[in-house]
Amino acid sequence: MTQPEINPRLLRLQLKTREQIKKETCDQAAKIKNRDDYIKALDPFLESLALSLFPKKFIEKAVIAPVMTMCIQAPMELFSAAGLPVFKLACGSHAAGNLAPLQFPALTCPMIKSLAGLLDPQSGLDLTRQRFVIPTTCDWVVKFSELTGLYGKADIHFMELPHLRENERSSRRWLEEIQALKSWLEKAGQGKITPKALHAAIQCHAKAFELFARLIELKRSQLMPAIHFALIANAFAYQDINFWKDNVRNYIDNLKPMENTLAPVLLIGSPIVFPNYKLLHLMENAGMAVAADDICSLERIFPGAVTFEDKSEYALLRALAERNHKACTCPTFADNERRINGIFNILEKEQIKGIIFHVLKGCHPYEMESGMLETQLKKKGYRFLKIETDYVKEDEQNIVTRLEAFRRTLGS
Amino acid sequence: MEIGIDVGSTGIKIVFVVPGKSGNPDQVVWKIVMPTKPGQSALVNDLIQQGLTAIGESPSGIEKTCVTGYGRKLIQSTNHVVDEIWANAAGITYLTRGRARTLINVGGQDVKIIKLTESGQVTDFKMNDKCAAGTGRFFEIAANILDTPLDDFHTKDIEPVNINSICAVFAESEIVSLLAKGVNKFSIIKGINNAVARRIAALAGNGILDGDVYIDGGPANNKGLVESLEDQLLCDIKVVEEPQFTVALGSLYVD
Repeated sequence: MTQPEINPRLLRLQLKTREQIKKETCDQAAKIKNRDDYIKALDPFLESLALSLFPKKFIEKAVIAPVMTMCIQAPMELFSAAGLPVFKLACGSHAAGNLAPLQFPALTCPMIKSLAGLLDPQSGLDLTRQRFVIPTTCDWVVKFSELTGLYGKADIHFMELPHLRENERSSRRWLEEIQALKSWLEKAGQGKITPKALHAAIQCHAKAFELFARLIELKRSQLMPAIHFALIANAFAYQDINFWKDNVRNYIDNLKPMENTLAPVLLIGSPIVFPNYKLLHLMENAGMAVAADDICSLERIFPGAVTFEDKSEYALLRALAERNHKACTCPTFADNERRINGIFNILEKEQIKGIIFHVLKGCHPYEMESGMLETQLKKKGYRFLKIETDYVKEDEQNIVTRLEAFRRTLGS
Repeated sequence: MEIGIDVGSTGIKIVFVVPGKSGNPDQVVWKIVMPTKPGQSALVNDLIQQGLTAIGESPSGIEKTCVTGYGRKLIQSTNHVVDEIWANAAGITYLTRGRARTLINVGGQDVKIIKLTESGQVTDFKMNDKCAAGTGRFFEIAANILDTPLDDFHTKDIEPVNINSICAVFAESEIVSLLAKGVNKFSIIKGINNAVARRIAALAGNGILDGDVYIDGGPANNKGLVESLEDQLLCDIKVVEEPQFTVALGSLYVD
C-alpha cells in the first residue's frame, strides 16, 4: 500500500494514541500485578498481550511472518501444519479506536474500531505485505477489509462461512472452504501440508486443548480467578503453541489456592479482549466470579476436540471442518439451538443461578440473541442481567450499581 | 435514632428515623434534600449535624447510619452501604406495606424499573445506561430553559408539541428553537413529559410491569409526567408522598 503523505496533525494523533495504548496496557498489567492472587507465571501471557497491541513490533520480532486471522473458525492446526504463526485480529484498547479510518460508522463495534486503529497504515506496518484469513462471520468482520482499505490491496483469504450448520449442504461447503484454506496456506507457507504434518499438528493442539480443559475445570471450581483465565485464553492467539503449553503448565504448577467466597455466574455475549477487562474487574468487585463463560475470546477459543476416523488427508480435514463449524456456537448462525442448549447445560452442571450477558455496543449478533436468551432463561427461573457497554470507563459506576443489585438477587 | 442517606448524582437526601416501639410505625423526624456538590463526605456530615441540632439530639443518639446512591462509597463512618436498587425496593415496600410489585425510579441521571416481591426482594430490574435523556437532570435542564419550576410541569388540556430529540443536549436546543418560534410553553412542557414517558416505556418494554406500579424519585412529583407515563404504559401509576426520600429511607430497611 502506498504510504500517504503524513499530515502533521495525524502524526501527533498517532503518537498520542500509541502513548495511550501503552498506558492502557501498563495500567491493566499493574492492576493484575497488584492483586493478591498474582503469580509470576502470568508474566509471559501479559508480555505477549502487551506486544499484541503493537503489531509492527510483534511482526518484527517474529521469525516467520504471522498470518493475521479473525474469529475462531479457521482451524489453528492447519496454520501449525503449514509452519505459519498466527496473529489474532482482536483488540480491547479504547485508545486504538482513535486511529480508525473516518469512514467507520459512529456506532461501530468497539472491537472492530480499535482493531482498525491498531492496523493504522501510518504505524509503519506495510499491510500490503501481510496475509489475512477472514471467515465471513458477522457483518463487521465481513466489511472489515473494505472499511480499512485492505480489500484488493492485501493478500486476503476469505472463508465463506455457511450460516446454517445442521444440514449436509452447509457441511460440504464448509469442508470445501477448509480445503481451500489448506491450499492457500501451502502457497503462503513452507510448501505442501502432508497428512503426517497435519496429524502431528492436530495431536499437538489436542494436548493444548487438554490443558485448556484443565484450566476451565479450575475456573469452574473457583480455584482460578477469571482474570487469569482471560489472560491465558487471550494470549493463546499470540504465542507459539508449545511455548503457550509450557506457560500454562508452569501457571498450573504455581497457582496459589484461593478462597471461594464469590457468587458463581455465567458470563456470555460479546468477546472480552485484553486490555479491556473492565467487566471482569467490576464483577469481582461486586462479589461475583465468572465461574463459566460462553465467550469466543475465553472458553470458546477451542471449539472442541477433533475426532477423525483415519489419518487420511480427507478424514483429517473433514474432522477439522466439523469441529470448527458444527461445534462452533457463534451467534451469526441461523440455527443456534446448540448454543442455547450448551448454556443450559453449563448452568445445570455447574449449579449457577445467574447469567450476565455482555454486549458491546454495535455488536449486533449478540444483541439480537440477548432478548431471546433472556426470555428463555428467565422462564426457567435463572437471574439474568444484560450489560451493554463499550471500552470507555465512564459507565463503570452505573454498571457497578447494577452488578451489586444483581449479586443480591442471587442470594447467599 | 437511625439515619438513611442517599448520595445521588444530582441530590443528597437524608432522613432521620426514630424506630417505632410496641408495634408503632417508625417515625421520620427530620429530612433534607440538597444538590450534590464536590466534597460529598463533608457535606453529608454538615447536614447530619444540622439535623441533630434541629431535633435537639447529640451524635451519641445515632444507633445506625446507612448510605446508598452513586456516592455511597465516598461516605466514611457508616454502618451499612447498600446499592440504591435494593434500597429503593425496601423503601417502597415499607411505604406501601408491601403492595408495590413494580417500581419506576426516575433518578437524577438514570431511570430504573424494579420488580419486587411483597417483602421487598428484588426479582428483576432494568436500568438505563450513561445517558441523561429521560431523567431528573433532563427535567432540570428543561425547567431552566422554560423558566418554570417542576411543580408547574402539570398541564392537562393542551395539545403537546412533539419533542423529537431523544438526547438531552439536542432536546435542549429543540426546546429553545420551539420557544423562539412562539410555541406555547405548556405545549412544550407536555411534549417533554411525553418524550420522557416514551423513553421510560421503551426501557420497560412489554415484560417487566406487573401488579401495583409505583413511581418515585424527585421527578415523580411532576403529575404531568405521571399522566404521560400512564398513557404510555397503559396502567395506573401511584406516587408515594415525598417520593424523593424513598431510597434514603429504604437504605435503613435492607437486610
